[in-house]
Amino acid sequence: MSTTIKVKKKPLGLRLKKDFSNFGGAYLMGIPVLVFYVLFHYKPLFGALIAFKDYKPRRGIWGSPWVGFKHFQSFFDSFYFGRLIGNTLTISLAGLLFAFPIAIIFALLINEIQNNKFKRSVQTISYMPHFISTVVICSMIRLFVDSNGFIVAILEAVGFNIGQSLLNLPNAFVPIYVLSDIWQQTGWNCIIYLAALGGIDPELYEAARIDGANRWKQTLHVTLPGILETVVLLLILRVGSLMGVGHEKIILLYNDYTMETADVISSYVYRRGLINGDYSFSAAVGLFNSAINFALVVIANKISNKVTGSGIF
Amino acid sequence: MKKLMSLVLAILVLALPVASFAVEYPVNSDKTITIWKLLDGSIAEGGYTTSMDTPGFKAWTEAAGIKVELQEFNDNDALRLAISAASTLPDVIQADKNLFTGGIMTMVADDLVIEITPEMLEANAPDYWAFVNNDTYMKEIVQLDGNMYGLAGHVFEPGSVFRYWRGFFYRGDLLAKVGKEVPTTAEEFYDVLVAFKNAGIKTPLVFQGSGDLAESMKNGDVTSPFGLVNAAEYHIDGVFHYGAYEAEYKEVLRFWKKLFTEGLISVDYMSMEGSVAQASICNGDAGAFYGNNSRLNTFKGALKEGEFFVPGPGLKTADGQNAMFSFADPMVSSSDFAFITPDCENPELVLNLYNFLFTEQGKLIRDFGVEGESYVIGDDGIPAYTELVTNNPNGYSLDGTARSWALINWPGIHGDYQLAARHPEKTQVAAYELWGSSQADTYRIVPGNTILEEYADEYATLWTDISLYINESRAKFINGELDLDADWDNYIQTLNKMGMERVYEMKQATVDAYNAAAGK
Repeated sequence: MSTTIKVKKKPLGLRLKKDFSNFGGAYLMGIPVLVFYVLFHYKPLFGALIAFKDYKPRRGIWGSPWVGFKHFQSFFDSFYFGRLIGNTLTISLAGLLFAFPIAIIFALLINEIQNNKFKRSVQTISYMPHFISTVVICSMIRLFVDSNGFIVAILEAVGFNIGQSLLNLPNAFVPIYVLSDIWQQTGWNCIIYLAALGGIDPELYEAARIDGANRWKQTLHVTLPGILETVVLLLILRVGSLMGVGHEKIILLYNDYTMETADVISSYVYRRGLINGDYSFSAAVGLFNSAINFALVVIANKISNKVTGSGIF
Repeated sequence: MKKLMSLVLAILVLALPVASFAVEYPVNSDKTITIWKLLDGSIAEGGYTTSMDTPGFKAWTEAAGIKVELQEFNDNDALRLAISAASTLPDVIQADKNLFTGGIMTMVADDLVIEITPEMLEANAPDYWAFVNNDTYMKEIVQLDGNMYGLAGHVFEPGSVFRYWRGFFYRGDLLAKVGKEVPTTAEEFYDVLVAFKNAGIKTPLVFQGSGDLAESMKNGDVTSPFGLVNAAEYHIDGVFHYGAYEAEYKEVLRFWKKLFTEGLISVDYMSMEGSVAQASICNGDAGAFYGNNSRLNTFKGALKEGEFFVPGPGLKTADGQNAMFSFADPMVSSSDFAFITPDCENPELVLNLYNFLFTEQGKLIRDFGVEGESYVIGDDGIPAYTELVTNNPNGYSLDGTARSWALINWPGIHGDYQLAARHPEKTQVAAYELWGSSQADTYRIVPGNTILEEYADEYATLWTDISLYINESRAKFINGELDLDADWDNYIQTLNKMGMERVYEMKQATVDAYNAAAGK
């Protein structure tokens, strides 16, 4: 016979008080983060209202007239709507397909390095490009892929007939964008995986070795499952920004030749919304993107829960 | 006796405005004026990061006796965002009159600016008012509702060639080497570039920046031989045209395609770093350059002995007339209008401040800076920059020091008298004169880049897509991806589909409204 003893939970206030006395430091450290999110992520949510208004700065959000879905309609009616969505998704998916796994592979490789000094040097050198500003990075890219640049020289040396800047070629834009991203961000992106790798219990490796697992088998059966949750978490978050290719690097690299593959939603919004001061239009497109991104996160999370058993909610 | 009385009275009436409406400087006000404006990045070349610290700014505000608090923004986006988010506006927004789509009237509708009446100007900015109160300037300052909003920024003296600061330069020594003169027609232009190429010059023609082939077409430097005024907005007898939609544009594109195909312009012109283009014109990899006059200040240090530049005009029409168009600022430049906001408590003081730049004392500070330091007055009574500006001991550029010690980037009058001082190279003065010989004022739409407020939204929506399509198509026609004969009709039809005819209607209505307001 089993008896279930129901433990009455203490009131929330009491529990919080106890928790706070135990982990006061952690709570304190969390306050700036909380303030940041409230101020910069929750408070502005109200401002998304301007997507449905003809926002005029001096009239304020409430004083500006309601226009319903006018700005959404205007975006959907744009001559380039289909192309913008297509380009945005292409660049995002290419990043997801290539840049995302490379950071994991790179972290695994670094993790295998035994010499600590060498390991640290590789890490430092690899995340240095992350700190170079986008403007400078794009200037460097333009010089590298120029008809006299070293990349074109290498490609020509191995038999390609190019004779011009790679930025003249619409088909080269996505590779340039993604590869330069890999160069700039892989070192930085792998830090979080390295942290996850550091958290794997060494005894698991020991047990695997006793069972006769070689390095490859250890990676497959200990390391990868050990960082799977981190990978899934980052993958879901990445899927949640599929519609959000930033405009800075795009507008610094594209030109009239490559518009057909390079012009994305954010660069279009930059030209129309920011340069023309049409904030309501920008807000409408932003809201549209967020709605799609949100849906993607929910779907990705559901799939992940089903397949791997873990998700973010 | 009666006659004498009326004569005395008339003299009194005439003398009255002058006598009663002069502002005494220094004003010595204890109030502080706040101004938001764009940061002029060039002051960094003079060793400063904010205008507040520059000697020119200090000299101005001290001599005017008015305290000023400046906030400078890196670009128009940042300035617009700050204005949009402000609960209290500064006293003055000093900005381009087209900061917001729809121009000044959008600012009026959004309650960002107050009206300035002739009475206010007479009383508080008499020197400014005396200069601009005539047809030449008023048609660009007065808005469609008949009112004035904001003080004009950069105004040009009548007949000044200072407005024409962009065009072609050739390496004179290389022209001599290939036995050619400065080209003035399309054939000569082509021949010179071919001769450069044959002489081993890698890229005969380069552009200042990657967007400048398009700019040169918009400025009409090579369109006149083909019967086209320019590739952008112009009018013929009050009728609006957009060059890239006109039949003659096709032949202009054909000409550029020929230059591109034969390697007379860089294959990378669309993505070339400005610094690469500029290095090539100095090291002899290029023979001709399209860009700003002030670039010569930068280039001259890189030239070897015997190497020199000569300016070239926009190409002539088929019947030998001067180019129909060229780059030129309007008589009242669109930039640096001083808009007094509704939150300003002392509009009179703001008017006093800017008026100072139009007084004799203010003009000297504005153009030359601080006497004895950045300029001296010669025996001939003409002010001239000292070596601090022309040959700065810290290696700062002439442009950078002139913008820091003087106020040449602030509102005021631009006249030919500044040309020699600002441009020690005779070539540069010659360039202004040559470029100023175009017929641009016959075809220019005044005020340009404007749209009636009622069309602002519709125009912005249509034009974002149309301008992109025109830009992409131009690039593809030039590199041969689109065929000028097979794809031209489709190009025009697509523009029609995108609403180009509607753009013409809206623009024509705008031109008509301005002409009606100006009493044309």
